[in-house]
Amino acid sequence: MDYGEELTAYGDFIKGTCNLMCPVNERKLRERERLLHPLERLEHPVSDVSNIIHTKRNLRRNGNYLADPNKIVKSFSRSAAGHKMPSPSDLRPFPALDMTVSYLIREIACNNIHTAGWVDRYNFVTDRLRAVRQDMVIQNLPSVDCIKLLKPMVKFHVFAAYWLCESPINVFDPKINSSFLQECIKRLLNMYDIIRKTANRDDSVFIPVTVDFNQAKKQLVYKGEYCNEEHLICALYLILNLGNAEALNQGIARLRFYGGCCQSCIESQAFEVSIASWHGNYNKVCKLIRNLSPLLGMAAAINLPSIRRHALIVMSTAYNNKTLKFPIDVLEETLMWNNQNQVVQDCKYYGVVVEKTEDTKLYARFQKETFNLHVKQLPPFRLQWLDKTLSDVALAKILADHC
Amino acid sequence: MNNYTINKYLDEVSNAWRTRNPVGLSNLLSLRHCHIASSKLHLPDAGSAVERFLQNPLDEVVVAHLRVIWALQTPDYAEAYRCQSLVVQAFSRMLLACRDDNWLLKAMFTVCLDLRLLAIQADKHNSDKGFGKSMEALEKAAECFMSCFRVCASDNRATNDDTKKWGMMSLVNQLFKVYFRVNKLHLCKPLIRAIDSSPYKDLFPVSQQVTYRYYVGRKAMFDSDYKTAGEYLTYAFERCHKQSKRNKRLILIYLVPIKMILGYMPQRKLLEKYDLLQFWELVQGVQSGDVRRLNEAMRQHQKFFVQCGIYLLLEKLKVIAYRNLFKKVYLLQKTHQISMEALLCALKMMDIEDIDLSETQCIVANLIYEGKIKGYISHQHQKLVVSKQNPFPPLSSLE
Repeated sequence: MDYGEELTAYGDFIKGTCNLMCPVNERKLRERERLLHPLERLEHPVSDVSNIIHTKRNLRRNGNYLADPNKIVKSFSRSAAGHKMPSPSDLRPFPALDMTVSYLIREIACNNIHTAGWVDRYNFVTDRLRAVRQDMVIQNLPSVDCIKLLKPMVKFHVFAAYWLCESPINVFDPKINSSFLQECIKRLLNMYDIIRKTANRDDSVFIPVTVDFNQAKKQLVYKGEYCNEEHLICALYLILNLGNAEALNQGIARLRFYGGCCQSCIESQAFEVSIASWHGNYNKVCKLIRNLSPLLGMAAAINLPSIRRHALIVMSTAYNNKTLKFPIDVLEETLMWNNQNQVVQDCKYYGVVVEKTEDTKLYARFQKETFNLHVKQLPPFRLQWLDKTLSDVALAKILADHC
Repeated sequence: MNNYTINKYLDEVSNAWRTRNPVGLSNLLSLRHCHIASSKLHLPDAGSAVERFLQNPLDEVVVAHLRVIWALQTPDYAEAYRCQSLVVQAFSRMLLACRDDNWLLKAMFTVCLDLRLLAIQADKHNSDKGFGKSMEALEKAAECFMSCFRVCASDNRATNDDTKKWGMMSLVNQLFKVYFRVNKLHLCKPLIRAIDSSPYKDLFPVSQQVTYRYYVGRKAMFDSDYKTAGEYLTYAFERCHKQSKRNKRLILIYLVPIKMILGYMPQRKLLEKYDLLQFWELVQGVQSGDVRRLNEAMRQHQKFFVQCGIYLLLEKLKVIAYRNLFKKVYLLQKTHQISMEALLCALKMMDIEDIDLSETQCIVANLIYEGKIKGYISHQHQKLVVSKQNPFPPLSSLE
């Protein structure tokens, strides 16, 4: 269905006319009210004598900064009673939104990830992306456009969930981030559904799985660019909701839909991890996580604490014996801790006894009674082997490119 | 009887109303009764004619009902659906106004059922044309049912015989059907609570109880509460009328795997009778610990299992198959200290690829944790040490 058709089907929606990342009205207001984010200010030219003059021109008398028109981005404001319906000049049509998202991801999010200041960038991008979604919803953009906008948002929030997972709660709130993430990914999956239903009827887009397997494999069910990306997003959904029955049921239905032609694809991989988790097979889960792509690996890392906790509970029963011991280094390896110190700390936290023998090796002594079921689950931490692969450039590739 | 004139029809409605005839009124408002075939009743706007015969609020219901019939003739399913929801809304107001009496319940069931069926049609036509959210009409229909439900549930003052509370279970069943279809199972919980706390809980007609327990059982199944699921579905299966073979089969599709997980295997005779032999290979695979056969059967009937939404449930059977396989190893080795190597070897014989000793340990550990094997693992000696008494307790004895 093209844009025009969809519009007639859905009725008329307001269309934005603002071709900038930030409407002029808002820019003026925020300059006046000193509401510019440091990332949006006009930088002072560093050079020579003109420095002072320039600075004077850029700074108003009351000390306000001026906005850099290339950097200022519309900020989120909650729609509430008393707010007027935004006028077309305050809303950005798809091309401007697309430009905005791409600017936020490429120029802001993918820079300085290894510095402490990245959190500010995260907060900035999160807020501005939220405003993008608002514009998107108000104008009821067609599904194909929404997909383009939402995809990078999902990836960004997954990365942030992983990257900032060790930050204290006053700096980064995983709950809020996760609610944005779930909102984006659910909306996105919905859009794919709509597209698939349309594609189903239109044989020029949809190629049914034919008897000829290899042929089908080449054509990969869809033409067009959604295919790979859709698989990635669905894989992410499975991994984010690891072992969740509802997500798994959706996954089964989808994988069946593809027939046998996607056996080795990223989504089947993710499905396998999630099924292993559904079985409580912590060993297999961790084994499979190592082979996932970096983004999926990050999504999985967030879930590791619950996998580890479950594993320790199971082991406390299964290895329950007063004279037997279990080597810590094996635990470290199987359940993906970064070092033995971490293992010992976590074990002690949950009430698993750790001992040192004469050969100075560390052992866990599992006992059913000592496991503390009442303490809260530990927060996640970053994985060294995963971090090694991440740099500004690598991140730009993960977030902005097709995986 | 497709020669109903408008006057004859309205006369009968007003008669049914006056004599408080539940069946009569229900038929005259049904979309599955012969009067809808009469071309003389296909009236887009019968307002003036109806007002002469009937009083408010019944006239609203009838005008909307006639417009539904007209729209179905066109056929315009969206319009038919819209008007049927007006019927139900007007009906719920009428129900509210009709104090201390519940003779309208029968007709309420009819208009609600018709609304749900029409909503499904409307959604189907909508999505065929490619617009609208996939099950918008059905979700909206749930709101209409809720308005009736509220009227029924809050009817506290009437006597036992006259209370509209008797309508609750039927409405709950309609709502279940909607929520299961639109996949919003979490909305079932408050309804279950409402029925559970009702004094009439076990006094509703058996037919309604069967439907109710079927859905509550399935809900429990999704929440992995297999014991409850087993109880509810067993009731549904045993009390379901023996001529409703299709319904009995539907119940069995969920009851069989749940019973298997709880350790009760079905007989071939039963599966044959209800055309459910797809399960037979699974039963054999599980019973003999033949994981390969189980996997093969899962693959072969995958489509059927996925469509029924039980694929994930059946995955759980693998664990039981592992238990039975390990039990065989134990019986063969005749020792209480079974080496992990032997168990791994058995797993590999079952064509399980990429498995190693540590994953074998993990599978065994889970079995011990779930109480399916009594014993412990020694990592140092790579052995599973099983209890001298009853190392593999029967599954049906587990909590």
